[in-house]
Amino acid sequence: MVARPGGDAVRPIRTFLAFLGTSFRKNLAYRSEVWLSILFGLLAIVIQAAIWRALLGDGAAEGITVDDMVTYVIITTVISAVSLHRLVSDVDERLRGGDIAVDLVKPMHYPTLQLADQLGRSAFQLAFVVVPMVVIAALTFGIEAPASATAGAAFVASLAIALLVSFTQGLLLALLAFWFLTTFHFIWANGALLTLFGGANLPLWFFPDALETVARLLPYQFVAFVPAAIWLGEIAGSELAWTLALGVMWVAIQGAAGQALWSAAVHRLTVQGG
Amino acid sequence: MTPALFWHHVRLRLRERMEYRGAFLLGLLAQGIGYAAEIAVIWLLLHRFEAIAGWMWPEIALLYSLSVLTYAIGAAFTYSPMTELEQMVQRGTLETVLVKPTDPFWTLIGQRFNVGYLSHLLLAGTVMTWAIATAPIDWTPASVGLLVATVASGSMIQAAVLTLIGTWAFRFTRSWTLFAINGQASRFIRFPIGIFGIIPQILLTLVIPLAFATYYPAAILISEDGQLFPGWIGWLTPVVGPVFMWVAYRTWTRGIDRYQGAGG
Amino acid sequence: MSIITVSHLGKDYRQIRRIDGRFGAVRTLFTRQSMTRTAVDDISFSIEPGEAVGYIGPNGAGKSTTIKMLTGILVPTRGAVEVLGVEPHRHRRRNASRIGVVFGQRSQLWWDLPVIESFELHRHVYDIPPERYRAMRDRCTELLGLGDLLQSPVRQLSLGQRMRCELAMALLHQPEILFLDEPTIGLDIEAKDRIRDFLRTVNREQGTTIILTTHDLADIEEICPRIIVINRGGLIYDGAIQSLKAQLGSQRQVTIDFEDDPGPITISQATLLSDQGRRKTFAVERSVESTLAVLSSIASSHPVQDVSFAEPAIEDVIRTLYAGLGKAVPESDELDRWSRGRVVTQ
Ligand SMILES: Nc1ncnc2c1ncn2[C@@H]1O[C@H](COP(=O)(O)OP(=O)(O)O)[C@@H](O)[C@H]1O
Ligand SMILES: [Mg+2]
Repeated sequence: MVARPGGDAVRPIRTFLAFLGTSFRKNLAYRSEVWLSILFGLLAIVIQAAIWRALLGDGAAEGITVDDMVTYVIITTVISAVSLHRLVSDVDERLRGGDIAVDLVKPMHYPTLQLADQLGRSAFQLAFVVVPMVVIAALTFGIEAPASATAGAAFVASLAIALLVSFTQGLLLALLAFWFLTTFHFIWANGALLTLFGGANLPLWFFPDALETVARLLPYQFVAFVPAAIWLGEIAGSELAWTLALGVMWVAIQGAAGQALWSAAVHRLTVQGG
Repeated sequence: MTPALFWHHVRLRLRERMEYRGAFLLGLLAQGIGYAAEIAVIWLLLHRFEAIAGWMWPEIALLYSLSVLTYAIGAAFTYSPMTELEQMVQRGTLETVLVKPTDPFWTLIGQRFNVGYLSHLLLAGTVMTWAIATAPIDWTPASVGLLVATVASGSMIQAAVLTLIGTWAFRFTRSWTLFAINGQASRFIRFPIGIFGIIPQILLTLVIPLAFATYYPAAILISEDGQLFPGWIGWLTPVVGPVFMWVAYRTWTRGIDRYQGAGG
Repeated sequence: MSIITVSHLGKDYRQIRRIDGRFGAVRTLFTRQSMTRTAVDDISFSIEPGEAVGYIGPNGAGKSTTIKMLTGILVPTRGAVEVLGVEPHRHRRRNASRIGVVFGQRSQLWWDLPVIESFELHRHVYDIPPERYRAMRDRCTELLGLGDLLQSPVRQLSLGQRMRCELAMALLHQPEILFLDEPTIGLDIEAKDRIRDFLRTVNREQGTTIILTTHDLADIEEICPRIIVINRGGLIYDGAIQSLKAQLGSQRQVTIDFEDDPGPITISQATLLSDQGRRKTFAVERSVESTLAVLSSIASSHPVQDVSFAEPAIEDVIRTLYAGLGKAVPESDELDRWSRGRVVTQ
């Protein structure tokens, strides 16, 4: 066989992109329900914006104004629309149907394929839900530009971290399901931690000090608080570097744990027969 | 369908759930933790800011607990039948209900009564007990009656909303997005309604009267206002639930008729 | 008095079409294009109390649709249905308490509970007096060999066991008519036999009227003296199986074993069906005279060792029926399924 230039190195990437594209097209089938998803996001923004207007009025707390909070709320809503937690519900269905065994013995790296699948869904959400939602929200409530060019660039990096943190978290939950044959309980428990420590409903800077310290160490902040705070320039300078490094570390830790669980699952399936 | 027959259905449903006792109890625990986290966030918010539009933490806790309590009771009846309706139409299981000599609505509700809302009930009940003990409420026979009626009527409103969404499944599929939107909508009624614009207030009062499950009666109990509509409409709470439930029931039955006419 | 009367019955399904293309999503929200598909068209028949009728036809013929109209689940688009003196969809609940319905692919039992629990609930739903309930339960248990099964959770039963329980439950309130939509689908031979025996007994001894759809013609032969055949929504035959055989199965097969291979034989009154050298099979007219004529003309020229006759099988009769319909012949995959269903029974 004659190797094409760059063939072996490019092939996995092409496969990955092919899966991503397929997933995107698969989601297109649901485009007639898109307006409901847009409505869902807008309601979240309306509620949060109203609460902050009532709390802050024309003033500010810890230097944060209503306009800051509206931008904050729009960004956290966007992130929750594109985050990759969904994996766990998909796996749940395949687990019930018994299809999971087929996935686990496929000659491809299942977690990577799932990443492609989830990214395809996110791309769909971005194009059909997030863009219209942000446009409407920005026209209605107004949105602030990133605090600086650095903040803008760092926001993009934090968005990537948000996707990877949510993906590896979903993967971990999905793989736990493989052992416990249920995802319901893990989804709720993880959801609780995300509600409390993610910061979507209450930014970490309004937390009592002790709790804030804890939240600033956990991975949940990366799926809501961190990207929004970076956009607003509230995390900057050396703190920004540290925060992003911590995010990368959490991706690595969760990813490694996911990979280990994944290998164990394959081992269990192939050696012990499930 | 007689109450005894309905109760017979519910008992069987309970026994079915008890076949998987461990998973059931763990599920209650997990949901309990989920709601505890929600309460914690609202508490943290009021810990930092003290009040929203003049409503302090015990008062907000009253709104929150009423919202969860009425949802838990209403959803125990109609959540499972209505979310599963879409699938039942697709798979034809609805037909097995239609060949029974009982009312299809009550048969479905009885068959799928959800006892999984126990942790909601416990949590919301506890928070509410604390809230009404702490909040400045002037206890008179009228206010006690209003509170009791609110729980009953509010549960009907919540059950009715779910029923209306379920009816959607007769005509369109993928109703779950609507159930998710309902989840969002019920976050409106956990805060003083006056902080929202005119449109949400009108919608939550006249179209989907969820505000009668929490805000309007609570506003009377603690003598607060600041909303678009006059405060006295809170006294309408006892009738809003039954009327809205009746509307939902009729709509659902019309949906069944349409299903029988068009063939699903 | 007929127990069921169906006249010029028709059913159209309405389906909402999604609009594709640009802004399709938005347009689907505001405009509704619907498509109509006729599932049942101008069917008329009537059924007397105590009859057992097989309602057959290929997939998609409209059998289930008819059953759903007879049981009051669906409202007819055209024509009229009368069951037990009333229109089933107008008096659905009253009708329901006097009929029993079994769907081959849908369970009416509580999945995680012992069968007996579903029976008990059924007793309350249909308001059956306790003595009558007990008598009927015990009788069904005995006839269907349910025994200990009643104490097992439904999820632990095999399909055959479950269907037997479904059947027993449908009869607990002693319905006057029993509707069965493909009750034997996917069952093994033993389960099928049990169910057939049971239905025959119920029909003969209790006089319960039975309407049965199936793809397994053995069900029909053993239970139903009368068949109604439909195809593409229209009725194509209604009458006794025997007369259908007489009409269409007007030929019989004659298999002759010769002492030596006689080589090719041509006889005007017989068609050669298969030729295995010493054994040849012919199709001949069913009358005694023509059979004898064929036999004697063959025997006169070639020494014959053995002769056997075969009556047409019901499958072949039905096949001929479809073949005679010209353009209404079922599509090939339906024929395939049709014959596969037959293979399983043998
Ligand atoms: N709910 C429905 N909506 C649209 N078309 C249907 C529906 N149910 C059945 N059909 C169509 O009606 C025809 C008859 O179906 P059915 O009565 O189920 O046939 P059978 O039971 O004989 O296999 C088929 O063409 C089928 O595709
Ligand atoms: Mg059918």
